[in-house]
Amino acid sequence: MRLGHTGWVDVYASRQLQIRVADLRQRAKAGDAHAETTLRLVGLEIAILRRLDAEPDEETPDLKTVRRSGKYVVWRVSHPHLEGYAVRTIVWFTPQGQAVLACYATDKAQMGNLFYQTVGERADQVIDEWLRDRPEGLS
Amino acid sequence: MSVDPYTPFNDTLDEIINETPERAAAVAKMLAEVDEERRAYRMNLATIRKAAELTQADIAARLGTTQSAVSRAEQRGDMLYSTLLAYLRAAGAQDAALTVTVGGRRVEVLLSDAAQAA
Repeated sequence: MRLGHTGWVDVYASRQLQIRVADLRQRAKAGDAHAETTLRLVGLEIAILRRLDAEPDEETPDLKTVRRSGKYVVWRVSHPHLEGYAVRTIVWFTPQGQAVLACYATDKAQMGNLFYQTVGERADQVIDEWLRDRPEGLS
Repeated sequence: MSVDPYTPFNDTLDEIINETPERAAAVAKMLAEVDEERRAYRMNLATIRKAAELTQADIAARLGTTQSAVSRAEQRGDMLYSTLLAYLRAAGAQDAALTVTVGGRRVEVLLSDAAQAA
């Protein structure tokens, strides 16, 4: 079952995000309820990206640009209010084509202010790595 | 564990979400909530701005502020009359008024008057 329609944007997940998702999946399978909920929220946020046809031209409650972006302007995807959780997926839209890189996901509720202080630098590192190793022809 | 960040994640996402019916149902429900929040978000100042075929950046330029500030203003539940008026004027709205029915009568208050009185 594919949830919702598929837009034109190709969604890629960074190495870092895929490792985190795999870890959440494993812990959820082992009965970790917190991991299960976090996994659902990350899944939701990536599903939101998948419905896009292009980089948004305006912000919405679930999609906003990160003011403290670093070298690359990144967006944060969020979820409807859920007590005790504030999972955010940081994403970057490639300038060349119809692609978005989901860089990493973190629970702001756990990190507090550190989330805002580190997002620019952390996203830049992920994006630089992804671009550096990107196969030729991939937009 | 091998990961490939250069293959679109779509199929893997489906696999993860559909791993259990409960997870699939939970994500579907939250997607519907996201859509509802967007509808509510849009039925506000942004509706006026879009009717004027302006972007948040256009409004920001006219107000001498940032696009982020305009975005926040569009989401805000409360704002000063003067802030609301400035936004509406930046969107090209004229004769902005607040209209209510009270005691069976339709009463209209121009926002410019309300802003001065406040």
